Amino acid sequence: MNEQELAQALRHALRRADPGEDFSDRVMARIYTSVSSETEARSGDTAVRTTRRVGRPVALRWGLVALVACVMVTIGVGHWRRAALERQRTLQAQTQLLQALRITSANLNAVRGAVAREEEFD
Amino acid sequence: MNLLAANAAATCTSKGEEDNTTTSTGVPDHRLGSARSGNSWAFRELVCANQSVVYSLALRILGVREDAQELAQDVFMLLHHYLADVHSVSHLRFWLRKTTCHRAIDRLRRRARVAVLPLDAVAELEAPAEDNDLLMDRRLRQFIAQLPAMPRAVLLLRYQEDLDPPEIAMTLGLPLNTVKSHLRRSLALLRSRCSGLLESGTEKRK
Amino acid sequence: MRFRSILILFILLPLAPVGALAQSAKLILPDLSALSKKASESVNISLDRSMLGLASGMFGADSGPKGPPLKALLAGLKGIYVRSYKFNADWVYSKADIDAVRAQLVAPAWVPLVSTHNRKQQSDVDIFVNRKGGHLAGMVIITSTPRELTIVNIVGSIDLAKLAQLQGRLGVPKISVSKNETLKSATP
Repeated sequence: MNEQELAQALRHALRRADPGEDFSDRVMARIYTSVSSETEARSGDTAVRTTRRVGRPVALRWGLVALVACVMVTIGVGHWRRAALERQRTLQAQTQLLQALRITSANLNAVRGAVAREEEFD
Repeated sequence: MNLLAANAAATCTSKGEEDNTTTSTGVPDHRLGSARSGNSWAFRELVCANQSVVYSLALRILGVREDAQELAQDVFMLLHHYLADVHSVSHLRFWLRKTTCHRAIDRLRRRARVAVLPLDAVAELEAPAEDNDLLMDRRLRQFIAQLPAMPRAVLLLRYQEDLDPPEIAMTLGLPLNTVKSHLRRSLALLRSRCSGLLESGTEKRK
Repeated sequence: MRFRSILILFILLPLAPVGALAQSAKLILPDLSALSKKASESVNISLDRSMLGLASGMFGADSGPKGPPLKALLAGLKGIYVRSYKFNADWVYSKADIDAVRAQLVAPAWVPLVSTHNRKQQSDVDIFVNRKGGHLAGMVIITSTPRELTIVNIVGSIDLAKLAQLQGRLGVPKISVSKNETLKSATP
């Protein structure tokens, strides 16, 4: 066997294998699970707090700034969390929908096969 | 009647590609851009277009189907995390091959012994082969499965992924001469171990 | 031939007009969590209207060529519920597990469409449709083999022609609706 034939034989033997039709479903399911975990972890973050003591007028001003910052961060975190949860739900719905359609089609195929076999005996 | 596995030929496909086992360039650039923007549908298409590349490399390096499935999923999880750093389709393929090979080799080296590829597991996953090639395919795969990790990866990138030696060197982070040396030695060893089989295979093809 | 007629029946039946009709087409699926613990693989999907809306919102023109057909397919759906179990041994589940579902299908609105039984493989497949005033409001598929049990409840209507358009794509197995089907010869 020459070099070219050996290369051809190796390429034939090493044809790519497929991991299965639901592989992408499993990947997407893991992704939305990890997004969900990240969401849970980050929702525990609290707003920034300023505790340094300063003079009264300065303290008042900085206190107001800190209060506004807290409110904005809380709103921002809440908005981000809602968006992340929405993405997670969408991903989950999409994955489940495709799986449901796949199962429905598979079962209809089975019915088709069963009816075809019955018709052969008619 | 195996209902849940009915029509086992169904696989996810990308545009213009019906058989996931053939060489493909993956998805178009706009789909990559869409995935990077957070479109999960586009990311799923990236997975579909590249899953056979990643899985086959993992399977033939690790030799165990379950480990290969897990590792392939890990690679795509990583891809999802680092997608913003991928700037083109060719870069994507390069990154996937590189990450898969490195992770698979690391995992293989952590094992106590080198696993021999289970022939039955590979046979049921491969596209159907003609009977007269089946034995040669199995023997070649068995031979490759017995190589050390790095020469194995080199051979796979050469003959499964059709990369040339400079690309293999870049993927695995090896000097070019090392890659060529691995190829030369592996093929010489293959010829010496499988000479009878290779010659009979040649005669059958003629 | 018969199956093609059944498929044509599905295609020609119009969509269910109102949500009230769709409600009766939704089965109360029993709690089969005990089965899922015994199963080697189990699938439990409950997609109501809001979840379907969420999923179908992804399938616009930006989803590529598969997006619009999928969105069209989902247009008539109001819910899809799947319970599917695969076991490593025969008859881990009992007929009683399916009886709770079958008991709901004796209502007049449910019409049996297909009922097949394979004695050799001990498998049964039943399809029921929910019809109100000539409109298709839902469908149930029950398939049972010694090692698998699957119940699919579709609320609303699903266009099998559109599902067939997604042949081989999105991981959806092909449903053949071609005219010239070649039947395999029976094994004596």
